[in-house]
Amino acid sequence: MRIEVDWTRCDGHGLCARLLPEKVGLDEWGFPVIDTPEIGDDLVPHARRAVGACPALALRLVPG
Amino acid sequence: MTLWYLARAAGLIAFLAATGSVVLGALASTGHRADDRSRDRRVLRQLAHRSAAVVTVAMLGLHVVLVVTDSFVDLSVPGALVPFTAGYRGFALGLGTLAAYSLAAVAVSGAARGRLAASARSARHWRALHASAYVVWLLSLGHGILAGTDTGRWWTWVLYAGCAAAVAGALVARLVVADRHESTSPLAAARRQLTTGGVR
Amino acid sequence: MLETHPTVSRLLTAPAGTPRHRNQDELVGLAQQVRLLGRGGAGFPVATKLAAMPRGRAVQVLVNGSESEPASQKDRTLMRQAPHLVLDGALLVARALDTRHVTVLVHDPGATDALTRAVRERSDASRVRVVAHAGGFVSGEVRAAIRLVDGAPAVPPGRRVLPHESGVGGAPTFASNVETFAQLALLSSLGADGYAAIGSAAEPGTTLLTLVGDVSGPGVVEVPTGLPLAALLPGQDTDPRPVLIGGYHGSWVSDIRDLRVERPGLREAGLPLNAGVVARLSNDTCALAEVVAVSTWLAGQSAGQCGPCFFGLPAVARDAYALLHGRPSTADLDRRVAQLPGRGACAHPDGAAMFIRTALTTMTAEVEEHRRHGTCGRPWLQELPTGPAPAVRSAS
Repeated sequence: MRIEVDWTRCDGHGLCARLLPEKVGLDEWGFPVIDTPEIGDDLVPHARRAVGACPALALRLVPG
Repeated sequence: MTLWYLARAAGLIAFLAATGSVVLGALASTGHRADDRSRDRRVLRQLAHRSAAVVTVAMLGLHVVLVVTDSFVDLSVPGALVPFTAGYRGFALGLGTLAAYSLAAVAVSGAARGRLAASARSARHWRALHASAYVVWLLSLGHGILAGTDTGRWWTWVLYAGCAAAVAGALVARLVVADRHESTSPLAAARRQLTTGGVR
Repeated sequence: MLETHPTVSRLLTAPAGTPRHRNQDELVGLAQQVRLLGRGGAGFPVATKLAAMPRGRAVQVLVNGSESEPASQKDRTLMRQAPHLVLDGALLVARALDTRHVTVLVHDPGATDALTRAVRERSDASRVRVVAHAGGFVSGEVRAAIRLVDGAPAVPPGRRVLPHESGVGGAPTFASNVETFAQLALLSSLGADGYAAIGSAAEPGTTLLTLVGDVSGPGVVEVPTGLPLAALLPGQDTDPRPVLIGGYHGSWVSDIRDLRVERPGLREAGLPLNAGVVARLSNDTCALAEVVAVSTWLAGQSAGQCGPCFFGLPAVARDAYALLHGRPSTADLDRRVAQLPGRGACAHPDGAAMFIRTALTTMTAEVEEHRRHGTCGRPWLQELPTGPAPAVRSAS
């Protein structure tokens, strides 16, 4: 699995970085910085939680 | 009679949980501050909003089942399912039935948020659908006041007034904050110009 | 002007006249034989794109002439000088796909006039729609161009959509750059062997370039592919200077000795040719000031859709400006540039980061001078255009 940001919707709320700190950092404006989008099996539940928490619905968990 | 007391208690708890969920939901989009503590508070608010919603649905289910099975008032299954056909306090119960149906829609929309709001356009529809939670809350308030056995006692008025104030306050806070964010965020302004002003 | 370097004139002087009809398979086969690559920026294989298209009356053909990079002139030059060849190519593709829906999106008023006139001059182009627009840089991105044609804001959508699945009006769309269509028309007339009689083996034929700055005759040129880049940049061996390949989304490179004008080879070297802009600065202008000016322009071209681009590019431009005036540390600049790629709906932040990063790494002496003294003593001569595009210098 892989996380993907729809940048046209992301508002920089930054909740994803709190719920998935292993994968998501934030830049100085609060927008996610994701170095490796691949999500291992152990992180999938956390990634789902981060996806569900995004107020802008900008985060997605996609296969691949 | 035990069932009847339980039914009333379940209804009341459902209403309280609904109030909590609506308030937390309204406040979900507030607190747009760029520090980790406020982000954590928002995450917790979301969690509490969803938990309260689950409690609402569960308590409502219990309330309905108990009211129908209890023999103290004569309420048939069709009377409970079809609004305004119940023999006992038909209008008041009708409000409750409508509230239950709309709550089901709101709950389903909440559970399927990720799938229903996949595109920007569908997200707007989703928001409108999910905002019918306010209607659910109003209907259940009316149902509680008109059908509630305890209505008239001083503590029910304190309770209803307190819940109404909380919901109204949260709604105002949401509208004010959303407005401030829209007018102060340069990105929001740029995006607005894109959709209204067309080509730069 | 053109005698100074080895150019050809095949595309810009091609005889008008409808090329012979080819069906989709034939056209795919021809494109495959000559390894034709899209000429807009991405350099995608045309055969692959064409083969993926369904056929039918609903299919759309989009000719993307929204050349909105101020340094690039080749598309408008082509549309002004050979509008019929562009239309030939568009109609050729439309016929092969059994459709009559052709839209040409144009940015330049002169090109719009030429195309509109050409459409009126011929009987087979009555269904061709010429759409003029004045959008910014990112509006030229193909998905943004599709939205523009559909009357929506000219910005790329947030999710990946492939034009051959859902393009103009939601219909399957074959979209490519104007030069691609002109090359297809030529390919159909000449046949694969005739087309590949000149140029390199990896990408036969010719390509249009826009030469900018201190080059052998600035303006638009048509050159055979495989031409050593040095042939366009006289004096580079005695006075080596950074060369910009691929325009404002491209890269600066110091050593061009092994480089040839040919998309596959350049891509292998990590230097995408993009829309074909090649630039070199003279020794009279402040190179860093030129880079800062382009960085500022790039920041202004953010459509304001995506946060990292909308906030990041202006911050990078400010950092670059501070460096120009002597800020000793480039740490902020380096960090912000490194964070740009991959974080937007289109490749604008990626391209901008490439431009600035490679400028800083190739212009080390200049950067050092500015860090120490806050100036290099040279004035800013605006050799890299950032305003409205200057008048086209004709290539013929």
